[in-house]
Amino acid sequence: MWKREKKPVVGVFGFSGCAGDQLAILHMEDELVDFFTSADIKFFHMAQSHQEVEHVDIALVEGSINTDKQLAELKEIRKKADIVVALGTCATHGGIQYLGDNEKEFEERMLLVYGKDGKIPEFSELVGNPIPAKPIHKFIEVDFSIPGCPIAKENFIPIYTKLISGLKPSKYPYPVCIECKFQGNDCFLLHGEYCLGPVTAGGCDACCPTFGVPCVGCFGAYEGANFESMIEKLIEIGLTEEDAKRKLMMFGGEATELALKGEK
Amino acid sequence: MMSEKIISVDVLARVEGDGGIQVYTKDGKVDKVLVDIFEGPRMIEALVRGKTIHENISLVARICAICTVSHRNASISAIEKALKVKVPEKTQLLRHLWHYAEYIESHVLHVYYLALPDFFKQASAIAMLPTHTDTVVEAVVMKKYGTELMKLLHGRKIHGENALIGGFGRVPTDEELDYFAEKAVEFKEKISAFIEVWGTLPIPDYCERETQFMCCNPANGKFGFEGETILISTGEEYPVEDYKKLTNERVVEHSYAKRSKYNDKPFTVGALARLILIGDRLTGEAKEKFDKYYNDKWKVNPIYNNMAQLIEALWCFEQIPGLIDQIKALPDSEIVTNYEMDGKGTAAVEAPRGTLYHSYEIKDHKIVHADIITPTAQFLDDVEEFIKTAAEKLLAEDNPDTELQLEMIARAYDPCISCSCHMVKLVKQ
Repeated sequence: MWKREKKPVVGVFGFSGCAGDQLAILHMEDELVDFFTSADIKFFHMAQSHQEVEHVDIALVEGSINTDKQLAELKEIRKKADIVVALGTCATHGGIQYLGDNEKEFEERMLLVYGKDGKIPEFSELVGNPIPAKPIHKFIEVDFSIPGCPIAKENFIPIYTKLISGLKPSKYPYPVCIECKFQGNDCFLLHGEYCLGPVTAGGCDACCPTFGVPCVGCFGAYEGANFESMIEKLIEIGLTEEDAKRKLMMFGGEATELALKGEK
Repeated sequence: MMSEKIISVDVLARVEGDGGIQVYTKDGKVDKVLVDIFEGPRMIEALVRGKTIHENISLVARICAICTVSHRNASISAIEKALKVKVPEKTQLLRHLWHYAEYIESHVLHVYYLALPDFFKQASAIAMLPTHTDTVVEAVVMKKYGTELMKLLHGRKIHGENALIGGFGRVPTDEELDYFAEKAVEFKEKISAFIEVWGTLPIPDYCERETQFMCCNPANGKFGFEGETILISTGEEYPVEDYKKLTNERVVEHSYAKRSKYNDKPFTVGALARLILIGDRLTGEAKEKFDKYYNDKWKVNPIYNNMAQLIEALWCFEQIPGLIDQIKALPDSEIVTNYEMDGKGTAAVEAPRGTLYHSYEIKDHKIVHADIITPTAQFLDDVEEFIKTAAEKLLAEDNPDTELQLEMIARAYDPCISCSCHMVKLVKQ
């Protein structure tokens, strides 16, 4: 950890994704001025220009790594940063574009989207060569992870505030299902409707079930998730095993992939 | 002789996503301009195959955070067309309100946070806080109106799950809607006053050239953000199903975003295109501002897109109170759940930054084929052409601000590269 003797230098960096985690910071209108004044924001290219950094105390990194060029930049960020925080489900889990180690499917997708005369075209060095999408911890050491598609301020602010104060944040302890109970919501599953709240990492205050729509799992898997029981329940309410697994994998990334293969 | 690279904007700052600008010269003249998009390939069209229609709308909304509503809206519309889903009037009107909320969020974010700092040579809107406190605070509260209204209908500010095929999960109460109707009147005054301020800013004229424009033509003959046909500045009009003829997508090696041309020439979509093609249909104060500020320069200079966005945001604020009255007068309705299993459908909506196409082939409620064409993929060729025109002029003058001026053109388009602006470097060799 760095020590708070001055305002920490913070950089916000983005790789492949929808830029929703950077935007979620800009959408915290009530805390926006505090965000930009409580630390020395040296790099945040969605919000400001004229930036070059030699060193940052804290790097917030959004997006999955989808090209070799991004991979090289990510390694540069790790060298320059004392603390690296993975921000959002693309950075923490790989996001909706995560494919695991399935290289064959990656080729097929490239061919389908960019293919010309049955071949994947060459891309210039300006944009880098494509690689299957991976979360950032596959390539560098990550100090903290804040999942979410996008991140929620209920989760982001407590962790970030501790970090810029030179304190060690604690992991968010609950799945969405517990937060949903705190909110006093009725349960979808008990009514025979699909919901991924029991196996999904919390931090969103169960925003979707509170709104009357089921959790789609956008924070990725909760560490103590019982997938076996979740799948059983989903089959009981009428989904096939294949449907259940596909839904779990939408935002699940590697952790869910391994769990579903029985390797974790 | 080899091309010499003179200007290299490594990363464009203050845009959404990752892109840069490279300007190459040959024999003292600008040879080519590349707007390279190094946002990595996510291949959403491939990954939605085999997913259910409901999973699909959650996934495609995540193409872009700023236009999450437009993506979800276009996707729902195309699927409803394919499966012959008829939604009640209240749902249709709530969707308009949902879309206007995104326009306010996106246009305010772009004009105030991303574009305005250039005119004061500042790095960001936050850097302007000490000198332009009122303007920055106004921008923050006005954007908050947009994001809170999105949250009311969407369930969350970004990537909410409340808008569904056939209707909305939760329908807002009259009291919740009343708050936004009242506030819209207040913000209408604020943005109207800001338009007068923007009207005094000097608009650079170094990039002027002729081009073509396209936008949706709303079927009711009014101003609006969706339609069954596409209007082109050539005077032609095509059904949205002909979108491939209008875009002719191709892959280029310096960009993971595809490119488009119509009649073998680049074209522009977005607020500027809409106001040029159907701006005379605006009403109220928005029409007054349009009449006051619109002129022939708009057709040759994309930097007027900023003003066009402000006028659209004003129009949205003016529409909201009346729209909310209409919504409140209608009874709540159940989500439509009875529809066909298979079909094909294409829909176009106007995202804040231009026409967005979603087209699907569906079998047993699963996606067999998806084709999505974003506004940025359509206008990037035109951005390159305008930058080329500007670079020729600026380099001939040896203008010290060349990088900033070129970035301003790219930024005026409000590109959604899932993109961003990093630094422009001038490399003199």
